[in-house]
Amino acid sequence: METPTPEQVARALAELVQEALMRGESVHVPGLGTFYVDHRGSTTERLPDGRVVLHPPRDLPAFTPEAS
Amino acid sequence: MSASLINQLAERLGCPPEAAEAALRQYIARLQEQLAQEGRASLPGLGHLVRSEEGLRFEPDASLAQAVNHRFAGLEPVVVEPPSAQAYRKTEVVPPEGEETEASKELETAEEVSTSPFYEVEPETPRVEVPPPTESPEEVEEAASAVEEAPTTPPPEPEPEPEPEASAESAEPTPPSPEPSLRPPRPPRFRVEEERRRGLPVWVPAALLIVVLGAVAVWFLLFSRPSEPEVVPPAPSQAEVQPTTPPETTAAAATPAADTAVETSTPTAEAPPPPAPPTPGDYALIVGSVTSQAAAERIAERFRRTLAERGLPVTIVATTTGGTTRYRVAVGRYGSPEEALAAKRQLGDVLPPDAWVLRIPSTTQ
Repeated sequence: METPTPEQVARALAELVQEALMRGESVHVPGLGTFYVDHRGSTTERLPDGRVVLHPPRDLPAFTPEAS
Repeated sequence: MSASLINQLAERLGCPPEAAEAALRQYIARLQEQLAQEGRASLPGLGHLVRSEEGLRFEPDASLAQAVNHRFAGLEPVVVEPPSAQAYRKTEVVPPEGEETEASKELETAEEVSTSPFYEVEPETPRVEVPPPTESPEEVEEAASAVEEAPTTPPPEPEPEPEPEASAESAEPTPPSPEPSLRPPRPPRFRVEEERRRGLPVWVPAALLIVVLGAVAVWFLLFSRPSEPEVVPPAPSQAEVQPTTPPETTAAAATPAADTAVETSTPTAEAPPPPAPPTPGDYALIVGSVTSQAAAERIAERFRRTLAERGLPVTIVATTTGGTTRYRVAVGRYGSPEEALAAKRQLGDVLPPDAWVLRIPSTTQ
């Protein structure tokens, strides 16, 4: 286990990022960028026939590339 | 931030941080290379990175998106119908007395509706309280002429406009009060009346507040202690969580077919250790999501076989999103998403890498 294979690294990184995002934290991956949670509040949409649609809030995974 | 990431990575990979950092660097370099060549690179378990004119764009996998959105999982858009036009008409039709513009109509009716109860209610309370005392003392004290006056005083009271009248009344009786100077209780009586007309005295809300606070305190003292021992036992290790699931699956199976979700035929061979307290978990690992129930059963059967020795419950949860029903195969029940992810890591190769955590509302319990 001296040198982890790329697959192992990819898997561990994915797990770490997903767990951090599920906690609502952001993760900075050096050389790549930052993963974070983008929260969208609930919205209302008025349909042309007068009905109103209430869209629930949601959390979206988002990413900002590292400036390079 | 990055240092903690490297440390966590090293911990997870079981190697020194330097090796983890080097491996991560190597992996990122490969990703960047791939991005430069193909304009697209895959982050397994997370999504894809796509190079576009604006820069690097991240397209998350559905499993990641659902896992991140776990707090709002299952929430669907709600369509609200507008109030029917008839409901409006009713309120407009009720007051068609004045023939003026609609706005003035509405205003008038609003006034009438608000004032009419006052006319009826307010004069009644003074009628009950005021006339008997005013009549009886005056009859006793004064002569027949005074008795004649006394009956005249009550009639004005039932008349409308209670507030201005209240002042008029208080003005009227105060002059008589000096005549029977032997009687001090009168003025206080009127003060009480005035207070009643103005509204509740200040001390009433205060007393109510104190009573409510006292009730809350009593409730807290009575019920907080028994709940503590209940809170202490939960949050056990995975082995302890598993036994809790059989009641859930059986309960789920017992609930009628209204929830087609819960067609868990066989609670897998589990030896339920009895002492474990039932701590139902809301979170499960979703290993498959299909639109056909038969396919979901096949997937569930496969996982039941592979997970048989671990004693994890495998259930099918049906959810209707946007008109289509999806049958999700859920493995295990956990108290928190972290717990579920830890279990996923432990199960390792048994579960597909894109298994995701979903909060399953435990309405079936």
